[in-house]
Amino acid sequence: MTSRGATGEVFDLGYQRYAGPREGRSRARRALFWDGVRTALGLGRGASQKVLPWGFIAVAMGPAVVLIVVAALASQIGNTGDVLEDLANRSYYQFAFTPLLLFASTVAPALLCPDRRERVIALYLVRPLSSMDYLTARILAFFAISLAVAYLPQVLIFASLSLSTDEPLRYLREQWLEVPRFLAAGFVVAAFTTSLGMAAASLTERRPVAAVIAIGFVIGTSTLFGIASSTSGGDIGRYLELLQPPVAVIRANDWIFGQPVERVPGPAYFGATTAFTVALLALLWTRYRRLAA
Amino acid sequence: MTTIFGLALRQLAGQRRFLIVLFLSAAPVVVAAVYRQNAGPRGADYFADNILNQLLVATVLPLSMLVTGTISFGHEIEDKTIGYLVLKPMPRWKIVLPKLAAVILMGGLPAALGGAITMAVMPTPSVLDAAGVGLALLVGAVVYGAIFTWAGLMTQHAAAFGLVYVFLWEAAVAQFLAGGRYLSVRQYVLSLIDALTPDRLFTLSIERVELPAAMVGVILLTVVFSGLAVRRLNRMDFP
Amino acid sequence: MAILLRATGLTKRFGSTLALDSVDFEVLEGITGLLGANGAGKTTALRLFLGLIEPDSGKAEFLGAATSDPIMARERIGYMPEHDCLPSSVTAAEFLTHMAQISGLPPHEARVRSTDVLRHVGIDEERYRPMGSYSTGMKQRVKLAQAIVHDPLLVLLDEPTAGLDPVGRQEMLELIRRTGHDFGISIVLSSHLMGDVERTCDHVIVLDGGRVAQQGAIEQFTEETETLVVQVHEGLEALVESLARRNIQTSVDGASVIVQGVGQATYDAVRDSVVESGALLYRLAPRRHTLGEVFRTR
Repeated sequence: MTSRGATGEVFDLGYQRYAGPREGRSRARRALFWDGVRTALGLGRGASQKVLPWGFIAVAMGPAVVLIVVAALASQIGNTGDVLEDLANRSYYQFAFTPLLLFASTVAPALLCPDRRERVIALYLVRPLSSMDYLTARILAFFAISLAVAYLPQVLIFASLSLSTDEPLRYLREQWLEVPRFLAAGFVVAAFTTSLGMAAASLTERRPVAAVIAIGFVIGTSTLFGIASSTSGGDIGRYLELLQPPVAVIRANDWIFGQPVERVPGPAYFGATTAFTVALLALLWTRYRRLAA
Repeated sequence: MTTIFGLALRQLAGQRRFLIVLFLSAAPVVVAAVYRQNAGPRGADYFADNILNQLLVATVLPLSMLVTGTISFGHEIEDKTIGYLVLKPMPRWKIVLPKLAAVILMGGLPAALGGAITMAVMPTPSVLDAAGVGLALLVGAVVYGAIFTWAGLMTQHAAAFGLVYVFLWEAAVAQFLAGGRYLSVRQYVLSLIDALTPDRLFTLSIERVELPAAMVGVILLTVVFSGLAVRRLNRMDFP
Repeated sequence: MAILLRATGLTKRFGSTLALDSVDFEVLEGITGLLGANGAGKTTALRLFLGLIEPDSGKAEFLGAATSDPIMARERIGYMPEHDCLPSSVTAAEFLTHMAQISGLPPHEARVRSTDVLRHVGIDEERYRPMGSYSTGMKQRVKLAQAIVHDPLLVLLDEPTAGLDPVGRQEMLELIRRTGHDFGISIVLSSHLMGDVERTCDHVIVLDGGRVAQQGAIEQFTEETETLVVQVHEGLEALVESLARRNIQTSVDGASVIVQGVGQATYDAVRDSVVESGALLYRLAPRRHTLGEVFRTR
């Protein structure tokens, strides 16, 4: 191909067959995963798509930032320890659970609802990809983001707490157990919120409705069983607490951090949270099995 | 105006999400009916107040209004037919008003009725309680309706912002920040219930907004957000 | 010529309706029309070949792929559904790149193919705009582009001209012809319009009520489909009688007379008959058969 003179001339090369590599199913899964991450965070889209996810991320991160400032000030004054007793890794999810929940309810449906509403899913299912590949890639994409949002503040808190003491190494030696604990607790929280947001999204094609369903489920069950629990009293009353997702998640967190847990044994709260997560994933799975057919 | 009102009613009623409203409204009635025999150790009044505060005022009312309010213009925006609606030779408030009325009717009325019936099937039923709660919920529905209708006109993510307002601001901030209470519809409704019913809410130790302040808040927010919705319609540009 | 698709005893039932009733056919290289009225089983057949639904009995085989894994076979097959399927907030360029990767292409190659294929379907500058703002014609072209972005051996097009105006329809058919003949991608074109199939395809398979009514090279069908529509105000019956006396086959469709087997002599006969019957003629136009008419007259 040459260009002649100043005017130049464009040669149409015609249609080119593709002879390059085809990476099949694994490429398809990875592409869907990364597309899910980008969609959830609004990357490559207009500013309006970014407000929501980054707003919630900021809210979830906020207290960690405040904590770092407090820790820094406290270490300057030379008074660490007591001041920071309440603001630590172990209590972080008590606060961050609500923003993480709202984040999952409003943002996770963006990975499932529009695909069905605009029927893009019809194009995915005729490609080298099973419907379960699709679902798994989408769930993992949102779960990865949720985990990052859940872990990042914990890492910051741990780092700032250790640096604000006079002997960071001693802090590390004494408190290293907090790290696997917050890794486990964050996993539990993120798994619950992700499966809730995704399961709600599988019930409707509209994102706002999915958000209301997810929030309504949490508020509804916790209010319902909260009232039932406080009116029933006795053993039934105690065990009804397990059916309140926020209570179960927060107490499971306490249990993981080795805190004393009231009313019902800690493992029961952990079990209840896991049961909620598994049930929601099962709902999601059955919904998508039917949709694919 | 009646045409728009009728059309809006049909849009809202024809949606599956209207089932969500019905479900939400019926839930407290069912809970009350199931537990009326066994109100627990702390007594019937404590039970009634908790259902009222946590379920009716904090959940059913805002969620019902959220699902109806944020989509009152949703159809037109989605189908891009909002142009036809606002190109009609009539002032914009004549569009907003019937839409708002339809939202209150379809979202607020079931919630208010559900609330009144809940009070009526309580272990200690009272006609005054039922009427007072119903009325207060309906007033709350007007304010929420205005706010969420405006939000629905402003952004596609109105429902998300509504959830943030209800479950972060009203549930958390306004409970702990004294000043925040004065910008919380939930607190207005509680204040109204306190004033309208002879013996509700006294078992709960919650700080409440004074009645005059609540009334001012109700009127102010309703007028301001309806006005903002009208303004938004005036300034919308259409593809 | 290689066989790309083979249906043997293919049967599919949805509830009480039999969508496909023990159907046998083969699709060869080139452009094949899958012709049938709405509900004749076209979309069902395509979905069976894509493995989206399972047949009740019989086999739907895609023989172009070397693999025995039905999911991996989809690497070499493309599909353009009849309904809308484009995300409105994404640009065509980004969407095509994404879809190429979902079909297994590495990211860089996907981007190159995306640009190439969009140019071929005639989407240039617009490819950086969100697809929600596209016209129906542009959307159809992007839908075609996503079906061939991974350079399949075969693409299945389900009613690709649906919703297009006459000019857009011509352009789309031309594009399909180019894709089939110049690009060397074999095509199955499902349509309920004889005209679309006639102008584009090399072969045709006619489905009717879940059975194969006809199949073969396109030439067999085109001659039979020339018809003439005559519309008159009064004297419809007299006209039909008059035409019958001249040994012209007709059928009455509402207020119009459909004349079969059009040649030069037919026009003369119609003219004479109109004069003879005294009918008030106000429209006379050649028309191709819709499939329904072909079967009604048989």
